[in-house]
Amino acid sequence: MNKLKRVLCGTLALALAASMMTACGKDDSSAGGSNSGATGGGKDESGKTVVKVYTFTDETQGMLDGFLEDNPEFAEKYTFDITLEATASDYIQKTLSALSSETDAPDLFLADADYAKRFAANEGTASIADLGITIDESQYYPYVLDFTTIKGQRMALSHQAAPGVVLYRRDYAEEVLGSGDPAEVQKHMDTWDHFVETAEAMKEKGYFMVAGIDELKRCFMNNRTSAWVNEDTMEYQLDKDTVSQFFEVTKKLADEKCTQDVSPVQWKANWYKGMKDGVFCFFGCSWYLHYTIKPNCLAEVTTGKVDPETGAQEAKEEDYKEGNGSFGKWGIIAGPAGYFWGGTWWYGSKKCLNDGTKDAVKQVIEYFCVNDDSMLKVMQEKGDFTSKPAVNEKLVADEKSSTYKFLAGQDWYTIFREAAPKINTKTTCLYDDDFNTAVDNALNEYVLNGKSLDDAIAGIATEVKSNLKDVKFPE
Amino acid sequence: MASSFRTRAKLEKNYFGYIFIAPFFITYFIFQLVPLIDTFRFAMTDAVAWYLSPNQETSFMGLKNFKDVLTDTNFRQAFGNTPLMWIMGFIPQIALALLLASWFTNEKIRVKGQGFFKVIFYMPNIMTATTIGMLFFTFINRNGFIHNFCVSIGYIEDARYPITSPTFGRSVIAFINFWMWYGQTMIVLIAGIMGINPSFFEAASIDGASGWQTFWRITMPLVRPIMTYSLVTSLIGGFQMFDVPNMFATGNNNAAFSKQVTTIVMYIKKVAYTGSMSVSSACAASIFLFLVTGLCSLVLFWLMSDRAEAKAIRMEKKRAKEAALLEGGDL
Repeated sequence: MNKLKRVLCGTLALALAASMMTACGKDDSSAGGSNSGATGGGKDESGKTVVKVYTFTDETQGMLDGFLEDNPEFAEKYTFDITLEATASDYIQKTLSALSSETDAPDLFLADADYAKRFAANEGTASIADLGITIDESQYYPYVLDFTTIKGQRMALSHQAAPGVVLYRRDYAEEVLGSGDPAEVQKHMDTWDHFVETAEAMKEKGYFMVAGIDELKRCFMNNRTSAWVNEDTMEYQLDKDTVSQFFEVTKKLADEKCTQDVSPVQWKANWYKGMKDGVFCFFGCSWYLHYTIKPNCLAEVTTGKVDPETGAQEAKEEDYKEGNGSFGKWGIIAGPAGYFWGGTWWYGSKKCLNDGTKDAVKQVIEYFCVNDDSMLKVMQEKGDFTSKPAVNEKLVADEKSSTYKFLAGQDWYTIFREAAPKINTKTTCLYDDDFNTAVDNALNEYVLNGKSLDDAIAGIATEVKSNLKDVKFPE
Repeated sequence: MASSFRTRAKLEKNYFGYIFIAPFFITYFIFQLVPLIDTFRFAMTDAVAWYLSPNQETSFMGLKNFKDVLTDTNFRQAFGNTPLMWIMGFIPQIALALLLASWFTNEKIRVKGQGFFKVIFYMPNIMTATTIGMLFFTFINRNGFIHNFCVSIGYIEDARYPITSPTFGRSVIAFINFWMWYGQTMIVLIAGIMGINPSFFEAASIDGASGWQTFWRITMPLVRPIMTYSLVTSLIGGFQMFDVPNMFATGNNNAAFSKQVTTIVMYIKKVAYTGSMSVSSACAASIFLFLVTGLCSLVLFWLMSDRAEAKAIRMEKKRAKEAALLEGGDL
């Protein structure tokens, strides 16, 4: 009896200890909510090799599904384990953390423009050459490659280029400017002075020029003459003229009642509301046209989804009808300056070189970012714009598509082809994500809290000093 | 034979006791104590997040991180914001909790439906702070009811503008903390008041003390240890305030007053997990937080201890000593 008790007690204590340990262990590995926890290079139940993928966008799933359909031999050998984390800061932390691990690192991972450079600079990232991919560099838009080049090594490739454009309401233009034709409207929007003049004219008729104070940010920020941080000396560099101009134009628009809201509204309810009615123009890009403004200009969606918090909409073809919201009343022009908005870069990790998935990663990247035929096929279907000018020449705006109707019969590719070469590539640094936040705050201080222009701009450096310890700031 | 059996059984019991408490201590040592010591170690180096640079070689920096943190404008601002927002929320919190606790325990009033009210008052504490933060952020956002109200009374002249006043922002956060925690404090204080010997209250009422007098002369002095406990735990929680203000100051929810509601823990998170991920600076800031919290708690203990009584005891001892000395002299 006594012995039994002792055994029981011992077992219980052990079980308790073990359960605590496993609880902790489990917590660590599943913290990010990986869907299967499979290790890249391992085999799944059917014996296929698992390729572990990290992504920030739900678009990836669909693209990889299409890839598997198109490559049946690949699908017999490999399967994808996709982990999605949509919040930028969480995704950065999670991916960098995973990359440093020998077992948990993804084989294939993707990045958005705000942190593409960081991922490229990470020790766990394999270069394009390491993956065995050879490219003809002259075939790409320079910005797409320069973006993820570290010490002369190309670290990632992008399937898309995201040239920035301006989307505007044709009906408002016709009423206020006398013509809704893109070429005519562009004349009223080709410089910032003309832009402000047009804004005032719009106000006269009761329309807001832009939705919020963050609308012009990307356009101005991409046109700085230098990156925030010098890559070689790690010194802080401020292009004061451009930043001042951005702040001043925005404040003028806000003060003159030309903005719908005097706060940053991107990705918030009022931004989407402005797309339906009342706002003249939005600064968008290739993917933005298809995924953001087109579904959100609809007053009513019956087939898609509506985000309960922000009111962001997703729609299916049946909803895209003239008369639903502002659908069919939009036009697209190049706007006051060239810029880009985002992009999607594909990376292979150093881990994939050794765990038997290198070939798979290579095939995927080549399919989406290197081979002209597959790129053309994928992007033509999506209506999106590729990173290769030659492929883009072959893209045709589908006259039956909802995008074509959304733009009242305008070929969006003409504008993208025109805008893409104008993209300035010299403005990216490792910490763009942090600087973007600091610029937002500085703009708030200037437009809303009555700080002087100089103080507000000086606030950018003050804010990032805390968390950018390796950057040298002037005393 | 019998006696030796008893000792063995006793020994075994103790032995099993250690096994039962072992899991806690093992996990504590691995997951709490080691990181705790590491915090001090890292604060003296130039370490960055290990996953950013897995094979990094750190060098000893002495007190440089501490100096940097102290001279950092953002840290100073956070260090001002945090106690301010805590005090703004805590004063009404403890006042209301005391009032409700004394009502609920008052034999003369005999509040009906006590259980119901206690549940209602405690309710906000059950929800996650992030949810409540998000909710209030929606309220002050454009078209939220607080924003609309500000527009209708003319506090905001142009409806296109958001609420920008830092005082307003801090007040909203202080209010959320107050609203979430007064129920909890109330329950603790009720327990404290219930622990007071009822004969004191009886004696007071026989002597004809008014409710007010009973409260100040009996309830307050005797509930003081519990008050100290509430105050100190709330102070620690206050210095570590993070989730609610974080909802107003980061990412998509970037209010115009975000800098004025940034707390110390938000600063630490930013330094450790964004940009160059300087874990060492974050450790230095954490140690400051630890020191200040410790110091403030000590001051509170000292302030809340019954010094008059302690003084009386000391005086008594002194007198006894002197008396003994005098007696000795006489002899």
